[in-house]
Amino acid sequence: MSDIFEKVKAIVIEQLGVEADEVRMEASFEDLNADSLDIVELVMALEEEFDIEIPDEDAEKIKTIGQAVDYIKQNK
Amino acid sequence: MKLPELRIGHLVAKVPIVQGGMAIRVSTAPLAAAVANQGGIGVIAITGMTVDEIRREIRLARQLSSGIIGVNCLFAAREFATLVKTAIEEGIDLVISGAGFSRDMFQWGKESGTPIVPIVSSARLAKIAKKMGAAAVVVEGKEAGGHLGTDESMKKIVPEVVAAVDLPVIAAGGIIDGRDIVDAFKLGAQGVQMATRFVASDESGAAPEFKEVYLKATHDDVVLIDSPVGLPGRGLKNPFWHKMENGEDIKPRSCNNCLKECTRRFCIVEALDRAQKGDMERGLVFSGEYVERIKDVLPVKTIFERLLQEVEACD
Ligand SMILES: Cc1cc2nc3c(=O)[nH]c(=O)nc-3n(C[C@H](O)[C@H](O)[C@H](O)COP(=O)(O)O)c2cc1C
Repeated sequence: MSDIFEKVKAIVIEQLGVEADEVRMEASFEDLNADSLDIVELVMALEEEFDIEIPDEDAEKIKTIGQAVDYIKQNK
Repeated sequence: MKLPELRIGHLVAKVPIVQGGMAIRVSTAPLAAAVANQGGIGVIAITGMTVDEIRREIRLARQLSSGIIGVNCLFAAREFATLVKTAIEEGIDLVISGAGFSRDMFQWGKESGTPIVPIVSSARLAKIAKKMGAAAVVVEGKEAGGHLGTDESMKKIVPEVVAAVDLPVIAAGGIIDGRDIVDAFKLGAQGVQMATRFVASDESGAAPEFKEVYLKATHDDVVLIDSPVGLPGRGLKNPFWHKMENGEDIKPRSCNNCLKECTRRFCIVEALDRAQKGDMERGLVFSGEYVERIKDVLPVKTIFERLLQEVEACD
């Protein structure tokens, strides 16, 4: 779990250019100032990192870092 | 100038003109088939249609033309996946998507061998599209009619996209005559998508009243509307627009949740549907920025002949 969080965190920092301490489980992508394209790119990076497929419908439901981590945990 | 063919995946259009998809029911089988018969790419707008209607429209278009027929669907539609998959099942030649970005559709395209062409408004999204497997991109600028993804001119974005991705680039927004087509090609486009010009054709699904409003429109009539989809939309001033401006209650009486997200300020499907049927009081008339340059309603064949003559007359 923490391992997944750390990997997600690293990707979020790189993709969104935010500070490490902003990337908390409860932080939403909106809080992190991600626009719709940022989110598409982020989801693509997560798919690559964790070797999973995140369909549109699921991706639309992922609004926070915590939800992304949970999704990856459940679908890996 | 002589226009080259337009290649999208395995498809080859003799004339590199795509007729832009226009919901609700402004571009249906008769218009798409007429464009395909001229060697262009005809597009049926399937947003707001039922599955049965999509099947009927595609079959009708196939009866009317053996040319290239595509569908256009807005990703913002809740039923996007069902609608697009239905069109693919019917053997549609290509899928063009607007208002949002689906990643899943590229997989459906791969499985069925259907070229997928997203509408993009930036080099950044074009790069994502390329990575996902797009066969081409439509680059739409702020001059376009309907929902807009940018406030920048097509003339600025097209060269940026051409430089960023190795894909056929189809320029859209504000292309009315042959000179505009030549200008777009000079910017590096390999095709153009035109919609407003085709609204004012005999074959379009817009009511005669809708076409009449187009012929009378001046530059000052063209406005941006705050669409409940969450994007600005380009259209024309009319009584419905005045109501919106005056903050009158135009909230929908009923709702079937047709959009993934909707502000519910008014019902966009109902407003567009009314306009298509000729209710110029309560309908919302989408239109491109340069509608004032259209002076006549013509058969698609004549529109093509004129465009090609105008193109030929340019260097
Ligand atoms: C009446 C009308 C309806 C439209 N509906 C759609 C639509 O359903 N989906 C879409 O992707 N674009 C839609 N558009 C945008 C066109 O497909 C096209 O890209 C754009 O209007 C091009 O600019 P032009 O009208 O200046 O040629 C619409 C445009 C108009 C004028």
